Amino acid sequence: MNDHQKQLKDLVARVAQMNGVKPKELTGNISYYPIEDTWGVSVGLFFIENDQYITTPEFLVEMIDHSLETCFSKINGELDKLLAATSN
Amino acid sequence: MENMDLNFQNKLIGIAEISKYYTTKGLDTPSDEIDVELVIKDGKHHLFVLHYPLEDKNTITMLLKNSGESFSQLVESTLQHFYALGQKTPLSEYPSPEEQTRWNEQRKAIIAERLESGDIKPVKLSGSVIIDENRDIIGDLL
Repeated sequence: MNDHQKQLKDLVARVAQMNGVKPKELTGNISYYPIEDTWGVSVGLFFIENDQYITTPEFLVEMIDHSLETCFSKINGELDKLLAATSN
Repeated sequence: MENMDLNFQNKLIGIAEISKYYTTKGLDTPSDEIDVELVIKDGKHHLFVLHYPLEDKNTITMLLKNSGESFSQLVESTLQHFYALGQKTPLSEYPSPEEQTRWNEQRKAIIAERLESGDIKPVKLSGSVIIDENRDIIGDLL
């Protein structure tokens, strides 16, 4: 399995658990924007409906950076901080 | 693993770079109008290549939809698809005006075929879009 695919699946599962929903209810997304060579990673409420692309979901988490790896790292770091803050 | 990741990302970049020539505007399509999306929904994997015209952000066009077993497979087959289009319409690095005209005619014929077959189609717009740039997205989680 591609490493980014696994990272995205893990992220969807994590965000789903934090929101008390099933992973299949959420949509994980990796985007590449050629302008400025930037990447985006997000988990949203929808993007696909009956296999059709629907524009602009409401994102639960979203990170944009010049590195895809940094997107994942930052987003997981923010979730770590959020969990730590709420467990105290 | 690092080389594989780099290769994967480079392939995505390649898809964006080639696909911009297969919009209705062809050579005049700026890079910032293209977006390549890899999506996981309900265990299914999809790849979308989208065109966002600067003059009307509400008329988004899907240039390609590909669904499959894995991101790697989707990226590879999508890249091959655009390579094949490129081979049908070869263009030199510094095309002459005549070559550009010929290329545009070939390209438009391919786009017409793809529009008719449904490969290229408008994206459905959702009525429930919430856009708030000031929102703390991470903070909304819990």
